[in-house]
Amino acid sequence: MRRRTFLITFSIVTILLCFTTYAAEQNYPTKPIRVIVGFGPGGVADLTLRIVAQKLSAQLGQQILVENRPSAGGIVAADAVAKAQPDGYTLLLMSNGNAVSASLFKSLPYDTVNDFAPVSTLGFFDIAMFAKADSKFQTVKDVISYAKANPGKLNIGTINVGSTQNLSAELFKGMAGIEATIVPYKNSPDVLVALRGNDVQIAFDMLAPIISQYKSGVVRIIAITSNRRFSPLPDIPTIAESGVPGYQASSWNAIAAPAKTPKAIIDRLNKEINMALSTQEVKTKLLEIGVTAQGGTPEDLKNLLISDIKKWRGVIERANIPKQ
Amino acid sequence: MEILTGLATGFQAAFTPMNLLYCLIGVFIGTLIGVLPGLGPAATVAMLMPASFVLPPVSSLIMLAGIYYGAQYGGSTTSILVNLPGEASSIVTTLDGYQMALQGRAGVALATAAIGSFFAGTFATVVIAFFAPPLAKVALKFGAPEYFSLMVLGLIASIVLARGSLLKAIGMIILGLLLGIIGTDVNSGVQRYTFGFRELMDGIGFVPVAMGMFGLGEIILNLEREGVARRVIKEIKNLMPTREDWKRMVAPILRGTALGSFLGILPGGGALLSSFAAYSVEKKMSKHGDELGRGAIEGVAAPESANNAGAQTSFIPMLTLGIPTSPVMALMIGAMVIQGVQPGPSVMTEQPALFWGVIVSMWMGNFFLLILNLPMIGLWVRLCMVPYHLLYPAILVFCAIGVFTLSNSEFDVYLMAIFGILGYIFAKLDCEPAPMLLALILGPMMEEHLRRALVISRGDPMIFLTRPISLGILIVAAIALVVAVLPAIRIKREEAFKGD
Amino acid sequence: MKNLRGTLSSKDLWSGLIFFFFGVVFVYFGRNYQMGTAMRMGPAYFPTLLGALLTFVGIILMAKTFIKPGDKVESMRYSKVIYITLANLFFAFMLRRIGVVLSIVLLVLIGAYASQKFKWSYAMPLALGLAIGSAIIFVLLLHLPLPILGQWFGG
Repeated sequence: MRRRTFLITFSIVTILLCFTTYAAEQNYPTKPIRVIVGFGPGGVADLTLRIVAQKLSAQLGQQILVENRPSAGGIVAADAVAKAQPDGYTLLLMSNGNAVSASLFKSLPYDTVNDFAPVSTLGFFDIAMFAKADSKFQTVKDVISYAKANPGKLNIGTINVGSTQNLSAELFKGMAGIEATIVPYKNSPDVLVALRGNDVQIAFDMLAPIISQYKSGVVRIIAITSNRRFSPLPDIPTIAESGVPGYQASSWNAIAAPAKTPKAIIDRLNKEINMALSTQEVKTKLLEIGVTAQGGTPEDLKNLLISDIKKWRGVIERANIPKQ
Repeated sequence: MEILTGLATGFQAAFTPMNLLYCLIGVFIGTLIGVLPGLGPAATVAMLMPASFVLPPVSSLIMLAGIYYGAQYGGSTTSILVNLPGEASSIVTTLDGYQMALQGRAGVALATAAIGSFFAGTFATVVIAFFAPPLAKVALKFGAPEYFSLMVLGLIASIVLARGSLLKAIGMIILGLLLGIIGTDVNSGVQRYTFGFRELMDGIGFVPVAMGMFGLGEIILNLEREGVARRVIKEIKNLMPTREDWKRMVAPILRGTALGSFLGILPGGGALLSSFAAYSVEKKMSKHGDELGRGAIEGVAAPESANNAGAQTSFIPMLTLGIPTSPVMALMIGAMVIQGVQPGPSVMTEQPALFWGVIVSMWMGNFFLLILNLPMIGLWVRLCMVPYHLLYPAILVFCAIGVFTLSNSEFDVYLMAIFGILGYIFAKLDCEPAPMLLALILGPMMEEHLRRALVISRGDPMIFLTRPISLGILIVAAIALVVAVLPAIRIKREEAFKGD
Repeated sequence: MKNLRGTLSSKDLWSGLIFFFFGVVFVYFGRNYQMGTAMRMGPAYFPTLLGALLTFVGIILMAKTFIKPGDKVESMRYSKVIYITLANLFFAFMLRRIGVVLSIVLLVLIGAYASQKFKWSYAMPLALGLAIGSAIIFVLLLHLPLPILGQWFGG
C-alpha cells in the first residue's frame, strides 16, 4: 500500500515536472508532436484525443502536446494546421465540425478537403434524441404523431445553431416532415436543465453526457442518430429504424496533417493510431465517454469528409440557416 | 440521521493521508494558477487530467476540486495587490481591496479575504451536506424567463457599484452590453460586429478586457504619476486585522455567505453574480456603506465570502443532477466518467464514499487554503514594497502570457492592449470599468435568455410575469432600481439648489 | 468664451463623445442584420436598441457640459500609453516567430522603458530573469503550449 502511494505520488510529480529529453533519434518523431484542437478542453472531442494521445505518446516515445485553440467552427485551429510546416510535428484534431464549417461559412481561409492530408479516424460518437423519463414520448413515432397533431407546439432543444446536434435536429425535422421549434442553447448543461424544467419536450445532444442521466432514470433516450445501435445500449433503436428511413447523423474525430506531409510519416502515424485504437484499454476508456473507437485508412477518412460536407450542405440549405 | 452517517463516511474517505496530500496539492496548484493572472482553472484541470487517471476516483476528484477553489481564492490576491482581477468573480474585490493596498492595508485585505472565504466555505459545505437535493430542485425551476429577470436584477445592482456619475455608469453598462453582443448570435447563428475577424466569432473574452482595463490601465496611470505622487505606498501599517476590523467584517461576511450560497446553485451565471450582488447589498445595508470604494473592509469581506460560498454551492447541480455549471466541472465529470463513475442523481446513493468524501474534502480544502495563505500574507505584502519600476514589467509578463494561453491566440493579447488604452482613457474621464465588465458578461446571456424565452412563449412577453419566480425577481429588481436611483436624484437636486 | 474652453477640456464632454461614437457605430453596422419585431427579435434588435440608448446618453452628457463644464481632463502622457501598448503588441506578434524567451525580453525592455527610472543596468537582468523564469514555469513545469524557440530558430 505504501509503495503504491509512493508510486502514484511519484508519477504525479513526474508529470508535473516532466522534462522531455530530446533524444537525438534519426527517425520520426524526434521531438514532441503538437495536436491542435478547435475546441476548449473538456468536450467529447478533446477527451477522445487526450485518451488516444496518452497511448500514442507511449508508442512513439514522444510527448504529444494538446493545444486547444477554441473558435467558432474550429476555423482558427484548422487554419493554423493548414499553414503549418508539413513535417508531421503539427497535426489537427479534425471532426465532423470541420465538414459542417465547410458548408456553413461563406469563405474559409483554407480548403477543407485539399489543404489537409488525412491520417485516420479516431472514433465515432452518437447523438441521442431524448426526453424526460416521465415524458409521454416513448418512441420516435410518438414524437412525430404529436408534432403532426399539434403543429408548432413541439420544442426541441439543442446546442447552438450550426452545431452537429442542431443540424441533426434540423435533419430530423425535415425528414420526418414535422413542424417544430428548435430552441438553441449555449451548451449541453443548459439543454439538460431546459428539458428537465419542461421548457423543451425533447432534445438532441451527444449521447455520452446523457448516459449517466439515463442510467439514473432521469432521462429517457428515445433513439440514437447513427445507422447502427450503440453497443453498450443495445435496446435503444436508431431513428432510421423507427420510422424515418435513411436518417443518419453521427459525429466523428480524426487526425489530419498539413497537405504536403511526407507519405512515410502519414503511414507511420496511421499505423500507430490504428494500433493504439485496437488496444482494449483505449477502447474501454473511449466507450465510457460514449465514443466507439474506430480507425481506418487515410482514404476512408477523405471519403467520409467529402460525403459529410455534401450531406450537411443539403441540411443547411433546407433549414435556411444563414451562411456566416 | 442519514446525513450524519454520510458525513462520517465522508470523513473516513477523505481523511486518509493520501487524500489529504492530494487535497493539499490541488489547493496549492490552484492558488498558484489563481495568482498567475489569466491562467484559468479550466486549462490547468485539463492538463492534470491524465495524472488523475492513475488516482482512485475520490482522490482525483478531491485534487481537481482543490484546484478549482484554490484558483477562485488565488484570483483575489492579485486583485488586491496589483488591481488585476484574474477571474470574473474578483473584479469587485479590486474596488476596495486595491484601495486598501494603496493605503498600506494589503495585509488586512488579504487576511479578510482568507477569513471570509474560510467561513463562507465552511458554511456552504454544511449547506451542501444538508440541503443539496432540495436546492437542486430550485435550480431546475430556473428557465429562460427566470434567468432573464435575474440578469435584469444583476444589471440594476451594478448601477449601485458606481462611485461617481450615475449617467456615466449607465453609459458604461450599455457599452459593456454592446461589446458583449459581438460574436455569433446563439439564437440565429448570425455573426454580429465581427468585421471579418474570426477570433471575434466567439465574442470578446472577459479576461483580455479585464486585464487590459484594470491591469494595463492601472500600470499606465501609475507610470504617469511616477514622479508626481506615489500611488504605490511603501509603508505597511499592519498585517492582521485589528479589533475594529474584526467587528466590521462580521456582518458583511454573514450577508455575503448567505447570498453567495443561494446564487451559487443556479447554473449559468449565479455564482458569477454573487460577488457583485454582495457588494451592492453592502453598499446599501452596511453602516459604512458610503465608505465603500475607498478601501472599506466591508468591500472585501462581503464579495469574497459570497464568491467562495457560490463556488462551493455550484457543486450542487453537479453532484446531485450530474449537470456541470462550468467548464471546470465539465472536465471533472469527464474525469469521473473515465474512471467509471457515472455522476448524476444516483451518485449519492450508489457512491456514498465519493459523494460525502468530496463534500468533506471541500471543507478540508478551505481549511488548507486558510493555513496556506495566512503565513503567505507577509510574503505577498512585501511584493508591494518592490520598487514599482521593477514590479510592473513582471506584471506585464504575467498578463501577456496569461492572456495568450487562454486560447493560444495572439489576438487576445492585441485585444488586451487595445482595452489597456481604453482603460486608461476611461480612468482619465472618471468612467468606471467595473459596471462595464459586469455588463460585458451579463449582456450576451441576457439577450440570449430574453429571446429564448420569447421563442418558448411564441412571442408572448407575459411569460416574464406569469412565471412566479420570474415575477418575484422582477419586483425585487424594481425595488432595487428605486433604491439605487433615488439617492442619486436627491443629491443632484441638493446640488442644484446649492448652485442657485 | 471662457466657458467654451472649459467645455472643450471637460471629462463629461469626452466621455459623452466616446459613448456617442460607440452608439452610432453599433446602430450603423446593425443595419446589416435582421431587425425582427419586439415579439420575435432578430439579431439586430437588441444592439440597435442599446446603440440608440448609448447615443442618447452620449448626447445628454455632451449637452450638459455646455451648461456646466464639470471637471477638466488632466494632462495625458501619451508616451506611457504608447510604450505599454507597443510592448504587448510586439510580444504577441513575435511570440511564434522568435519564441517565448526572446519575446519576453522584448516585452520587458519596451515596457520598462516607459518608466522614468529606466536604466539598462537593471532592465537587462530583469528581462532575462523574467524570460528564463517564465520559460521554466510555464513551458517546462506547466506544459503550456508555448514555443521556447520560435519558427525563425527552427523551434
